[in-house]
Amino acid sequence: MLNTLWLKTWRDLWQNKGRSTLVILSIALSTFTLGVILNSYAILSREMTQDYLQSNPTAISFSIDKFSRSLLTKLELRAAIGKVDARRTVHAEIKTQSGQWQNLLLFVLNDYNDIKLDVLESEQGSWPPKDGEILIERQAMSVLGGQINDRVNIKTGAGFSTQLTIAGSTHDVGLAQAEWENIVYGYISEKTLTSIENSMGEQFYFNQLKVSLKDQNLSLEQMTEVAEGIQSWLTEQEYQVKRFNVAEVGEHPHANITGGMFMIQKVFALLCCLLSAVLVFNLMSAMLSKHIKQIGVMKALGASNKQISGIYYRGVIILGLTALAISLPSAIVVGNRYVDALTPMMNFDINSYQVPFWILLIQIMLGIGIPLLSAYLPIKKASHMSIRETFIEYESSDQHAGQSWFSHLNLKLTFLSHPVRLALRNCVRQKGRFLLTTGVLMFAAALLMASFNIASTMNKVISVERESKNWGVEVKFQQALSDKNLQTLLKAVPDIIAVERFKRIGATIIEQDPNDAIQQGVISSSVNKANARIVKLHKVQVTLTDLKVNSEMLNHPLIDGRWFDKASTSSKINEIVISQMVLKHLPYLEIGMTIDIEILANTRPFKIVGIVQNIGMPSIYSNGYFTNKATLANGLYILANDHSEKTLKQLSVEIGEAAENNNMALSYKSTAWDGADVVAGHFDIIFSLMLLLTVIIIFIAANGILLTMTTNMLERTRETGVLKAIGASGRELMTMIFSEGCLMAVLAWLFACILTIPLSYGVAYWLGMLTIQTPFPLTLEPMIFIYTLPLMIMVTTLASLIPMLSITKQPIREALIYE
Amino acid sequence: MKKIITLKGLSKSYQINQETFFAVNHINLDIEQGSFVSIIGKSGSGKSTLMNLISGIDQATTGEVIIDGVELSQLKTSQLDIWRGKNIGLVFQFFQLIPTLTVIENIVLAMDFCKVIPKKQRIERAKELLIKVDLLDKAQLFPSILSGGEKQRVAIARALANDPPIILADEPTGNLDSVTAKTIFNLFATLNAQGKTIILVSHDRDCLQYTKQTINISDGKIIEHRHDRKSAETETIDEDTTNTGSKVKGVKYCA
Ligand SMILES: Nc1ncnc2c1ncn2[C@@H]1O[C@H](COP(=O)(O)OP(=O)(O)OP(=O)(O)O)[C@@H](O)[C@H]1O
Ligand SMILES: [Mg+2]
Repeated sequence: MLNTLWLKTWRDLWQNKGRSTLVILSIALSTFTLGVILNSYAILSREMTQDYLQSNPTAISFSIDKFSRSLLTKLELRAAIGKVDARRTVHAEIKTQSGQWQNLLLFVLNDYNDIKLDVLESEQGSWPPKDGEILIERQAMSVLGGQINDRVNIKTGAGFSTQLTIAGSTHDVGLAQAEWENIVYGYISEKTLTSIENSMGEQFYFNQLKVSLKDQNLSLEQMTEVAEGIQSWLTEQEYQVKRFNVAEVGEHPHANITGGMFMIQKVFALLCCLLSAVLVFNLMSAMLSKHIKQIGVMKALGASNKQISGIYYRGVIILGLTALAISLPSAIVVGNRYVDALTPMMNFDINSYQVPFWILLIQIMLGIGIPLLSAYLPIKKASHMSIRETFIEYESSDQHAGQSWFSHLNLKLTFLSHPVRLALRNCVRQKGRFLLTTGVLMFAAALLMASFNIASTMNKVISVERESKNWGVEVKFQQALSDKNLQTLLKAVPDIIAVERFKRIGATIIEQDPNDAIQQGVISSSVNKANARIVKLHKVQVTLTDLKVNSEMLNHPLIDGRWFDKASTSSKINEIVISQMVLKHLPYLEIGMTIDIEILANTRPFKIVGIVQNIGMPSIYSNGYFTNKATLANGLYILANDHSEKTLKQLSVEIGEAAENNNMALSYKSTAWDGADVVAGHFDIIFSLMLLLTVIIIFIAANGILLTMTTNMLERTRETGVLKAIGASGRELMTMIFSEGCLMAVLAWLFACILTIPLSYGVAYWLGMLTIQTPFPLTLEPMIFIYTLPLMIMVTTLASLIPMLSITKQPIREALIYE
Repeated sequence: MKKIITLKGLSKSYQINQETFFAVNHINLDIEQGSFVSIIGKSGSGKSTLMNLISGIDQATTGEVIIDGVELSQLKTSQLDIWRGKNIGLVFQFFQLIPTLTVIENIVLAMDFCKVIPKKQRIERAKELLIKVDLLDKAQLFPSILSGGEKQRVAIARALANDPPIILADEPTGNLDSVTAKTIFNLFATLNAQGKTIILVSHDRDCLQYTKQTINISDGKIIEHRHDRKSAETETIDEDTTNTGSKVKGVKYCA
């Protein structure tokens, strides 16, 4: 025979098997959710890093005007440098399956079988690309819509065009995702480029220098110092270094955003665990309060506090272990599927689905630990009672029920029917249990509303972004647009009703860190060669858009300061407006500060007059810096009669064709809808995830209600027997339970309406900071507040169906002898 | 004979509306090993309180309870619970069996708590005890289907599980009919004959036929303590003891 203490644990659970099952289900569901998220995150982050590190990622990359192989051998001799490699990048366009010209970034490599940094892997087709062949990055294949062996048309920025054969696909792990960036990455050989550019006989050159460092453990700052050292050495050697970029070693470029996404999910999953802990608490308190007399007897038989609490703790452990037996393996299986679903979005390969042992250990600890913690108080209270207290407690457990302020109130609610008033009284009888269950439901409702509020917020952000563009189509030419060409274009596309020129160009903010400056006693912000050595400089690459004086084309929401004076006729060329994304790199920037900006190798000061919200890359806007001389502009904002998505997409195609027919090389074009579409896609994923997790929490809440209702029914078996004996009909009893459920739903909903506002605000704030570096302004979705109430009533009613039916079926005789 | 229970100036008082109410009022009492004592008195006279003081379930306001040389107030609550399991077998009016354990498991449970009986002997011992109370055939049943008398016999077997020298029973027959009650009293008498010290509270005058001493309590005081011979005739109390207890006959020992 088993130890009787174990037997008692086991039989107690078995006696409450219905309710135990509910609790097990809830723990299992929440540890499952947590498990899926932890497992997939562990696999993803490990594999992402491994895949990335396997490619020998570049630490510092330099954009240099021109250099040849001989530079590499010289650099390799430098002390700090590990490996060096070179590529040539060429901006071009490629004609997609649908006939549109798409941006193409061409990489030209010297020897495909001896890549030292950012190693490429062959994915499909042949390798390396032969003359006249191109390899396409595997993710870009879908952007392109082509297949292996297709012939594709290509135009380079310099105006050369050719046809190439797609030889295969390759995997370039360090690149930003092609789909997200809406760009195609292509890989060709030196010879192919030479024949495209017709530059036979000329010396081939590279323009991208890639360097890895011997010391892999340098901080970003130290790496920047090394980079600056190399840069000045290169400059001494008379190379023209345009810019350099320092990458944090070991960090995949996506690590940040994925980490953020998983953060939300982890918080949700932990919340699931906490909410299911409420169920454990309710079950254990209900069971223990029924066992008080037994506990007294066991003590009288000589049981120690420890032995008694042991009986109940073992029960909790059995619940937790059973739940884990379900959740651990299924979380591994589903976690792997989740990884499979996510990897295509992130462009890397999974070599092993092994989940680290400690991740499983965390799940086991939470699966058992959280229930144990939540049962701690009720078990401690019950097991530490003295025998005498257990006798008193047992006799008087229901004595306080009639005495609260509530029953006075209830007496006055005579307009309510009798069953409803009974229900009200019943709810306060077990205040703790009632409040906890309602609390869980409240969380579920608040999260549901928050999900929709966030969706509405995100839609608003997208529409603000959309509305910030008063133009319909935006095109950028590879050369400045002459008046003659503009006239030709207008003639060719009659749908254009108005145009406005702008200039877009890469620029660099060169800013000394104010903290450093103060330390060094250098306050002036103008760069001075001598100081540049001792004061750390920030170089932030931004996109500069120079607008016509009093341009009406952009309408970005202002975060701070002002936009350019639209009424003014004279340009204020020393003023700039920056986008909030710039603050990510230079958080100390403020309105009124003067910063140095390098534009086309010219550095000059600008005064910040405004900060605007703009999804996308860090941008700055100037007013009439170039556009004063119309012929310097390379961009064109185009307006059409109506700005519907369909019209604009059509117009965009027409413009593309017209430009092609008239030999005007476009570097890119987009409609006012394009940017928003990509963002909307991301937001859809976030919304679906939030909704899914909310549904899980609603399920746990429903479990909690069912548990509470069943417990209440059990505890009141005799009482309902008496009610029946004195003539209460089944319908009246059902009304009583239904009213209890409704009261829970209404209360949960009321408080959820309040709770959801800070909750939604917090998520909106955090999501905004994560994605666009500025909080999303919360937009509430009024309808969801209304819809949630009937939904909650439905959930509580469904959850109380079983107790409702069982109470009416129970024979009076059985109910009356119930102990 | 050796004194197994000694009460010295034992009082239990409650503060009710600024007045001190004595449920047990300055009781001195010695009980020898092997005694078979019945405590009688009208309702509210303090019988249960006295029993609870002896078993250590209640703490005395003043005075001492010394059992087999152990002064109960010297023990911490946790030590007291363990001490009680080993030294005192309690039998309750409402049987108080654990409903989710079978008859034999209920008895083994008490042994599992105290760990004085070696593990291997526990089931064997439980069976012997069930033979003693004549319920071996019901060993595997759950308490809910037993009759009241059977339940109480199981409870007595359980009280004997750890072989305590003392058995305290507060109205053990309060929920039983008079025929069943007799079997229970008989069982106690047998146990007493085997050497257990037994104190029982009862409203049932039949019990006086079995016990060897009678203590009559009124208002928390012992008003009569009579040593009978088991064979002695029982003419002493002519009215229902539950209602009177004030008519004092026989020898007064302590007050
Ligand atoms: N916690 C308490 N607070 C105040 N008075 C109490 C308390 N416990 C018991 N009493 C009182 O002490 C007195 C003795 O109670 P006790 O239970 O010992 O009586 P009894 O002799 O066992 O009665 P019965 O035969 O009805 O069981 C009673 O008057 C009772 O009201
Ligand atoms: Mg009593």
